[in-house]
Amino acid sequence: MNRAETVFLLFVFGWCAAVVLTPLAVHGPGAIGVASEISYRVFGHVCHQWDSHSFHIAGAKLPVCIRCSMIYGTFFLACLAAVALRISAVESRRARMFLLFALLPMLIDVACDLTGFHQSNVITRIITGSIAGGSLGMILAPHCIEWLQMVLSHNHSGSV
Amino acid sequence: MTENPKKFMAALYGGLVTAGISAIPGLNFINCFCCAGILLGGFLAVFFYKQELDDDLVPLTNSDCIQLGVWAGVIAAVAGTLINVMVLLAFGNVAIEVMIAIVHKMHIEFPPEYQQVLDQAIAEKATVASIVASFLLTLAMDVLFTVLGALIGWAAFKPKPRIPMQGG
Repeated sequence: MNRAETVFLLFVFGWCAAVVLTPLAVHGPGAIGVASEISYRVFGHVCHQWDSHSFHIAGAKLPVCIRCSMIYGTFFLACLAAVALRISAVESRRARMFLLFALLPMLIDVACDLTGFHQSNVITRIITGSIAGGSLGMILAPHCIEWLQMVLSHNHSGSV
Repeated sequence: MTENPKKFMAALYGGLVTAGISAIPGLNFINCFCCAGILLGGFLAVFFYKQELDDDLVPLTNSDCIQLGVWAGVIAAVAGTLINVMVLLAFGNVAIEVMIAIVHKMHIEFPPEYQQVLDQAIAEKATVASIVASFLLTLAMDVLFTVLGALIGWAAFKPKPRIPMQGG
């Protein structure tokens, strides 16, 4: 594993770890409790954080909803798989089809829920979130790593 | 090959779309779905830039998309904060009240915890420190997610690799 892959995977892992650690730290002493509160605020910027739509750990809800948790978790697993299996970037037309496949189930689930046609539940949130996160990870990981490689090699050659 | 068009205008359009989605009451609900509105801004910045590229120009690169994403995120954060502050100064926290009124008219019931968050938001007084803190948080998240959106745009619109012509 090269440096760009390591940096990228560490960043995505850190993001996912923050999601899991936030509820565990909620009753922590001093700075730990404050860090947990800040984390809830930061993630509140990207998720509605409804209690009834979230997983709970140690009596406290995760800082993002079930759908977002699944997106982040499967995104990380897909990135790991992309690095381990040396998956390269797909051609743009296939990427567009892949994106449609990734996002359509989630959009349909949300739209049906909002219009009252069908009520989304834990299972539909887990499935649609996993499809979206996993597919996005597969598509984006090679591009993120390619860009990071460029930045790191540029910095390295600049510092020599 | 001629010089490529400036990225700023494409980033401006993408950034303003994100700022509009984030600041317009009701529409900002889109961002509750994993920052869909913010991702869209980065994606659109790449889309608009791609529209301006002709065949005789240097093709779109990964770095172009990252730059477009960063610019779109910065513009979105600045414009979004400005809109929010102007609305706050002119009408107070009327945006949330309007949203609640619309939702009640539609006979939609909020979950109790969301109602509590809304009540808190209405009661909160904006200070310079809270606006600065909110801006910094918005800036960090907007840049992160518009860059991701731009990378999705790169995956969707990247040019096919050029095969060098064989000389005969």
